[in-house]
Amino acid sequence: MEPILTPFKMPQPPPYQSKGLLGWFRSNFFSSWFNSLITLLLVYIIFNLADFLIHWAFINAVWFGDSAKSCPNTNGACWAFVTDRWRLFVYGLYPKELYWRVDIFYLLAAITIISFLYSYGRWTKHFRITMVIVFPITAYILLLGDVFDLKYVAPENFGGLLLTLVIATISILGSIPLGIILALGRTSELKVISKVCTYFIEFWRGVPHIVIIVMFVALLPIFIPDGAKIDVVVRAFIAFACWNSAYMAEVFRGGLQSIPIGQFEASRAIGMSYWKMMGYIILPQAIRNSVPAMMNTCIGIFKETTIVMLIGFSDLLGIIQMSLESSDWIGPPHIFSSAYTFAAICYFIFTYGMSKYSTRLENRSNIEQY
Amino acid sequence: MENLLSFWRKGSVRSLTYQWGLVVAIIFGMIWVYNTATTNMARLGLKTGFGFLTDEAGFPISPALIDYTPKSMYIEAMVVTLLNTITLSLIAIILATVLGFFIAMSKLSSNLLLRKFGNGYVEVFRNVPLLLQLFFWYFAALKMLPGKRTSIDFFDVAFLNIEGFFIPLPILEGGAEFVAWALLIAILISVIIWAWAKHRQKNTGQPFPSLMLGLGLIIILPLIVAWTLDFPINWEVPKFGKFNFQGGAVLEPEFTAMVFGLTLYNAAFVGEIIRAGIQSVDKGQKEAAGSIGFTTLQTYSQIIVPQAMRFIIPPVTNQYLNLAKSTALAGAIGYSDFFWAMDGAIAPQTGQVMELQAITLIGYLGISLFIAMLMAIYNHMTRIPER
Repeated sequence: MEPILTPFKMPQPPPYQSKGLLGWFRSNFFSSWFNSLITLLLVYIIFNLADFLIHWAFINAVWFGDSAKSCPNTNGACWAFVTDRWRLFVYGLYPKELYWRVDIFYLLAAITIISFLYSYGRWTKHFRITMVIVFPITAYILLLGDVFDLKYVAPENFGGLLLTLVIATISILGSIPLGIILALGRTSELKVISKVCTYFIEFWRGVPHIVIIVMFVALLPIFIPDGAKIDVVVRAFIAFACWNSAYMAEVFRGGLQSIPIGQFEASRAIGMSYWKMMGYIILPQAIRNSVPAMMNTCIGIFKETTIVMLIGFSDLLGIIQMSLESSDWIGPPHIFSSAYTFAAICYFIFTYGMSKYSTRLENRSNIEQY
Repeated sequence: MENLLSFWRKGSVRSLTYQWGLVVAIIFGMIWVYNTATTNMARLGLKTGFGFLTDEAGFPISPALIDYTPKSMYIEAMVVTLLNTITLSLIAIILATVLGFFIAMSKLSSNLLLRKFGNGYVEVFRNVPLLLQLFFWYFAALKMLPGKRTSIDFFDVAFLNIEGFFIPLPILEGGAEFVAWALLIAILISVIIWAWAKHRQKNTGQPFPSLMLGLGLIIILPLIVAWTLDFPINWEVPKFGKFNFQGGAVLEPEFTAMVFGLTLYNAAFVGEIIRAGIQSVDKGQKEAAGSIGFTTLQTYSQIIVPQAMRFIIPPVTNQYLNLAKSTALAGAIGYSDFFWAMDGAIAPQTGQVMELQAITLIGYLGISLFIAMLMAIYNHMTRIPER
């Protein structure tokens, strides 16, 4: 019998609407009438917004001037405020002849950041560890002075971006070791230690940060003999360390819980003590796993530094607010909005940079796993 | 010696030693702190005790939800401002959740432009400090509003100007309580219908439009009662008098700025949490639902959202707690919240910082615990039933 042969049909090309640039446009912007409507609406909004922003930030903006009178035009930004006061924003009240010390601080900070951004072959690890150790020590000596013939500068003179960075760095560096200890305590098998650590962590996490910082600044002297001698800046640092170590502890607890139980059992089985097991086996893995969450906490810490202005410190936001209320610059609200836009851009550069870095780390560790 | 060492090496002995050591250390630390505190306070001549709570407060509080005058007691001032904090938190939590939902939807949309827009929103609002955003709304944005005489007019019933948002105030007349009863009964009936419909669907698979019916009942029944009673609710509309608006209610700029700032900031976080939750549901669930003929709405409401909820609840609880805590920044822009009253108004007048700090801590811990408890109950209700 003859086999029934049906002629083999070649597949037809997809309809021209779903191919190439046209297809891409169709599926991404005009897949349904509702999507088309949203696209048109958004194009209209974005066009208007861009038009407004270009006019406000560039065309109608005033770039130079020395007081609120230089910016009479309410339709444009008043960048004159920033160009007039930028030294204050960057250096705070640091003595003018000692600006070079702050410059070196910024340079070292930049090198430290760069050391973490790229890979330098077999030197990477050494470079990073050196910078992490060298940067805080040099920064402490340089900024405060009082050793090696450097003139003493009181912490009250720190201000602007300098103070913001100093508070953020100290809180981050201080809260990581404390957080690890608290996380180990909370996950400990010893009931009392675990309970004490849990209550400590939950207490700090349950109270607003501004309440904690006011409490430390106002009440710490009462609880310590001769406590009044503790500098007010140091009291604020202790407050930051307290609640941030609680947040970090939760981050590391997440990291500890992500370690398979077999790792604990295997280390016990080969006779390791608790501290050896933690130090050599568990913590290295747990810390690596918790790096992305840790970066998120760091972003939170950086944003939270703004609350020190409410207890009278002049961090970046504080000094901008003070300058806005000074007699030269007090004026119509459009000066305020320009100043806040500038501040927002400053904060955004740091926080966005940190969040991008964290995404990169996350992607890299995902690749390593598979 | 050998005996002693082996005794020490026993796990139970060591763990008991460490734990008792910690307990003893904490007790001694507390005694030491208490002693230093009492000596220091005696040296500084600070007053102690809670007797001041019933003294006259002497300062006004501008949005007061219950009766309050400067002649009221300190404790009343605390209650009024605590209510302000709770109201602000509740409103901001609801608004941030609604806005966050829309942000999540836009980030999950198939429209590239909308996705980018949602992304841009999240990046901008999440990465700028909340305090800066509050300042922006209060000192820059709301100060750009027109003056009293050139208010922005919403259909002659609400007016927006630099002094606030003037809105109509409902005045209840005789018979209004029947409308409230009708609403209550409607809700009760809807719940019963919902439970019955669920039971029936479980047994027979027959669906019943209980949601639509319930919503209709809740809206229509009170309306009918109100209509038969000739609408016992009157609206008092603000009117521009000689110098200012008379009647109605006013949302002060401080309150508006707080609501704006808190909502927009937290919506970015809530949106990300909801998006991650929905994306955490396996793609196969959606495809399976589609293949057995579920509509998109049914797929989301019956399949995706219930599963995503379990992922969403814990982080969103955390976010709500953060929001409630960050209301303490309200004092910075002059809104009379709990912390402003304690730290900015009562502490300078009485000087009893210790007691005030204790009350502040208890107040905020109470709010935090309350939110955590509510969410834990909800989480318990939506958990996976164990066999």
